[in-house]
Amino acid sequence: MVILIAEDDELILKTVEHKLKKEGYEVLIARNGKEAIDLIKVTDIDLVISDIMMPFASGTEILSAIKAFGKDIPVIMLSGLGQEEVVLDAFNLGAADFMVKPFSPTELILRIKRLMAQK
Amino acid sequence: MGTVHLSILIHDLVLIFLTVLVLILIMMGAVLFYGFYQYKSLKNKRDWESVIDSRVSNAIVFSEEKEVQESEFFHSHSQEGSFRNLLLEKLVSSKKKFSGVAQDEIQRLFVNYELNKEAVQNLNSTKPYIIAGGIQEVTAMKMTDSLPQVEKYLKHPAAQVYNEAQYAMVVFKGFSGLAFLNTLDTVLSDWQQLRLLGSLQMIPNDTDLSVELWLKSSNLSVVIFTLKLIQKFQMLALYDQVKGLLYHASEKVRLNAVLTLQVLENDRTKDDFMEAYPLQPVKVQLAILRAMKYSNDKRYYDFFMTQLNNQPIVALKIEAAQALLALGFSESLKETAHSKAVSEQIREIVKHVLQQKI
Repeated sequence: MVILIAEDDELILKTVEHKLKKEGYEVLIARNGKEAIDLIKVTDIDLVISDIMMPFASGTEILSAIKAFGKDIPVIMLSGLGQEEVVLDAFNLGAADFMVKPFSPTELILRIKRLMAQK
Repeated sequence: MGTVHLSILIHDLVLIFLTVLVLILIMMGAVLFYGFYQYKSLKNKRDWESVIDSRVSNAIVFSEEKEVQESEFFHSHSQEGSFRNLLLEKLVSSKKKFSGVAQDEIQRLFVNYELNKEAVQNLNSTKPYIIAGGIQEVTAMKMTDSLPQVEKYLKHPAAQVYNEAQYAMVVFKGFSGLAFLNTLDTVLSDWQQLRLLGSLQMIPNDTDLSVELWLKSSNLSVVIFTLKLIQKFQMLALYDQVKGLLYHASEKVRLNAVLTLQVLENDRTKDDFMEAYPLQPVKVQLAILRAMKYSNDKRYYDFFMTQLNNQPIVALKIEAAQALLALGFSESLKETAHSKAVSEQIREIVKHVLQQKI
């Protein structure tokens, strides 16, 4: 199972990457929105974890790109406090779930497992 | 003689030229050296950040397993002052990114590397920005021993220091940490008000006396903050005190009082708003009309119609028409839009409001 993490914060990126690898997932990483969109276009990805605010393309733009590519990939959004409006936009664009920072990596894994089970 | 003079002049010119050249070379060397030094510092910082991120990340990911070994690089730098300060800074920022067990692991790293020494050192600095950083550090790392010293900084002359101290008091002590409001004579900025409100998750039951005192403060920012506090925790018992603020000398306080009454709304709110309305400046009247609009109370119909028909101020007429529409009186508005009994201005306002809906 391939999971893409799109996140510009190095610590969050590393931590989620290691946590997912430890759980046995194959992990791809993107440090900005554009890199993420390029990867989604050419790779078979089962799930995306994306920060909402990122350089070059935001989390909502990633959601739009997934739609435009005609792919059905669940996306978990990571948002900061006070980004409720953007989160609502993300849900309207088809985000599967979201977590507010500060977040628990263990809880993130549980949510991934739940989403994968639904899939 | 002339030739001798000329050769001396040329000799001097050459000397001057060489001196200038040497000076330029020295300056270029200095600039290059400084640039290289800056580059090295930046590179070092990036390398260190990467090593620290890995250390923190490993601690979080492998928390349930045996103690994670630190890299040789990390170990060799872990006693260097600037490395330790960067580590402390990174741990504090990491705490804002993770919650749950991950946060406990970050705290454990802080304790294991005895970074409390650095935090206390920063707290004792003479430079305001370092003190502010120190307060953030002891707050994030829950160093309750440092609380008395943080409390002293509530009276520090630098805004960045007393702002951090105020925030720290609330984080450490919750509602009772707001006691500094009793004597606060500086302005609580909008941002600071948001931070303080955001850090308060609950309030005890016996808070009314303190809150009443703050509502009477001569510091307007304290009054406004208190009104926001009443809104957040829906402190219904303070309705009458808030109502009294509809007649406060400050327009900003009156506006916040309207918003607060909207949150505390009860059976008397309609009459209280209507009684206060004629005595208010236009901005507050607009706020009252909006509050009435959102109350979804159809009993306001006559009042809004009176405002629409008889109010001389256009902004209030428009707000009244919008309120009527929001309350579901669109048919009545359509009639007004075509009525010959009202002025052309009112018909235009109503048509405009009806069009906005479409």
